[in-house]
Amino acid sequence: MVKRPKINLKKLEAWQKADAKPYVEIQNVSKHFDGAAVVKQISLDIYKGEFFSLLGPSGCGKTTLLRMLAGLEEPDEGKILIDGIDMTHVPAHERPVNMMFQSYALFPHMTVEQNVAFGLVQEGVAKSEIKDRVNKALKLVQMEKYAARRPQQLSGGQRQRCALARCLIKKPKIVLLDEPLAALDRKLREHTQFELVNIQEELGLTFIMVTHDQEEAMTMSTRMGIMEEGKVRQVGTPNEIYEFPNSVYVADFIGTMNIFTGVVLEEAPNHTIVHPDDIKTDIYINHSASAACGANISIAIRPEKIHISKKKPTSQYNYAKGIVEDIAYLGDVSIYLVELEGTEIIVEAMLPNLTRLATPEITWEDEVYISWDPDNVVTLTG
Amino acid sequence: MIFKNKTDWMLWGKRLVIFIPLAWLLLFVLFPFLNIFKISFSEPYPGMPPYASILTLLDDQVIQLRLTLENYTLIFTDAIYHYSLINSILVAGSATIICLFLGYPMAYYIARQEERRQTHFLLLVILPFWTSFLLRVYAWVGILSPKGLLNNFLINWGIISKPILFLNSNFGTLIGMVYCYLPFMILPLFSALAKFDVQLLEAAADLGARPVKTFLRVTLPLTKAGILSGCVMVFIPAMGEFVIPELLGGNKTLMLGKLIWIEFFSNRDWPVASAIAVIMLLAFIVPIIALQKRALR
Repeated sequence: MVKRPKINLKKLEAWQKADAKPYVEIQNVSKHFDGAAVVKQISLDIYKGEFFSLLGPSGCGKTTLLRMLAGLEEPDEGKILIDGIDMTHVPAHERPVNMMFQSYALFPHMTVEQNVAFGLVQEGVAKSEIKDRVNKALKLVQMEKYAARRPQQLSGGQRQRCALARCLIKKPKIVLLDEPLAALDRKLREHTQFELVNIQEELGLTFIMVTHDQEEAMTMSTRMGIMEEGKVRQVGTPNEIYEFPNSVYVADFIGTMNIFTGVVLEEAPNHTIVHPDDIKTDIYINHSASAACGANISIAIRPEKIHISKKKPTSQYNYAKGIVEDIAYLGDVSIYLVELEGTEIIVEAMLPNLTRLATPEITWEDEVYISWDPDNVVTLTG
Repeated sequence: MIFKNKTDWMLWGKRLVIFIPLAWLLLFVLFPFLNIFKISFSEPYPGMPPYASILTLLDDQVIQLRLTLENYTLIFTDAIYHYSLINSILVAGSATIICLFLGYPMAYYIARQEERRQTHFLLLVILPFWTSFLLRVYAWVGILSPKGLLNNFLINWGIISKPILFLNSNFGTLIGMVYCYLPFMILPLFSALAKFDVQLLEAAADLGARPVKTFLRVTLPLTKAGILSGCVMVFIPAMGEFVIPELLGGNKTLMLGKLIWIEFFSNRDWPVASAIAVIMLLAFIVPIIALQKRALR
């Protein structure tokens, strides 16, 4: 028996508790622009202290949903509750919500300090307290040095920090982030991702972020919602979404997936056998697909869960023969594109480059066998 | 000229591009002004031109320079000049303020339209320029006169029983000025408002500012440049305006522009007229432009 490392049972997350009360409740919200539905009957619960990401391609309605939470758009149907209070028709300036805009929307005629103080000035907070809190906020985002600068005199990263300080200073119930890192270059973006999460955890605020960058959403979120054409297709932790997508759309959208279609041959509570349309061997899966025998089904396997070998696997199931069409060397990993024998289907497999000088064992035009573990197959009916 | 290479050629091209406007300004702004400046220090003289030359050749060796400050002392001591100065500031100032309050909402509205409608509205704003300025002011005589369009309308509807004397008053002048100069206010305001990022309004609202506060603390400061140039473009020409006070203000409205005309043509006193012009330029236009530059920094 394989010895497994002991996993500490983590305390239940907010959304896992049976009695948990959602902090933000979006109930059947719809929004139309010029007669076209942009958001279609979305219902979503978000809990206190979460870092929730709305992820989807452009035009999927994620920004509109965020703007409805901010009060910048009014839903045509449905309700939005924040901390139990109906906010559906409360104007933006009365909501306990602050947003960081994609363009940052810093006031160009004010200094960094004045920009950050703006929200408190509107609240009528005493001057000495404003000064105090502004200093603290600027310190939090490491912008004390630039307090007297104008936005035009700042770099992209500094502007982003200034905008962040401005939307955190009122300690809003929800912080909304609209593509917060899209304007930063790659290195800075990766660095800022962790920083944002640290700040969020430190302040214990609830963050809702809109992004089209799945890597960003995966790194930062406690949970994420995958959106498509005005609907939320799946809600879950990054791990759940990646390993257990509930539809072909989600599987295809997050990361890379090799998706095959097939017919269910055998279905049992602990395994499923699928006869694929384009692979000669049958696929054995270690779980029930909850589909009847004879039903059409899609199965999906991640590239990093596919093995490549020149030797024919001994198993009866779960392999296919093909020819290496292309190899992409990415540094840390290499991606092999394998064309399956007798088809035009290209399977993507990812192998780590564990040594520096290895003459690759497998090269272009080689005949290879790809195979995978029965545990690593996802079945998709939707 | 032989150009050795492309860079030389481009350099000369650049110089030429700068030279044309510079030459234009020298020829049509600076030289005429220097001439006026010179005349303002000379004495009136019956004849043509109606002022004495400031340089005379006494004999072969000596050139006499005769300058007088009398024209300026007259302006500073005679009450009629004070009166017309104050009246000019009052009328031009009121016209500017009214234009601002009318023009700002109009420019705001136009700037918030989609691009095609913007063009239509802007076309409407500048449409009056297709007709001669003089003709349009004359049209207002027809509207404002005791038996004109406006009085007839008010009497027919029973709002007034006797015609109101709109013409020959500061009021008539003011109406004419607001009408004529409104486009000069709307256009710079529009360009400032069109550049204005609407997302800033959303950011202000999101941070808890009511619409009025947002306007005062975000929109207004960020369109300051447009407001200032609009005001300058209305106030300065209004100060020197001659046609409108002449046709709509009658002899009851004395403004600097009209005064200069009277001094030049009725009194044939070119030196005094020039002195008024010089004072106007130095006392108003230069400080206003300086102020505008400073405010925009």
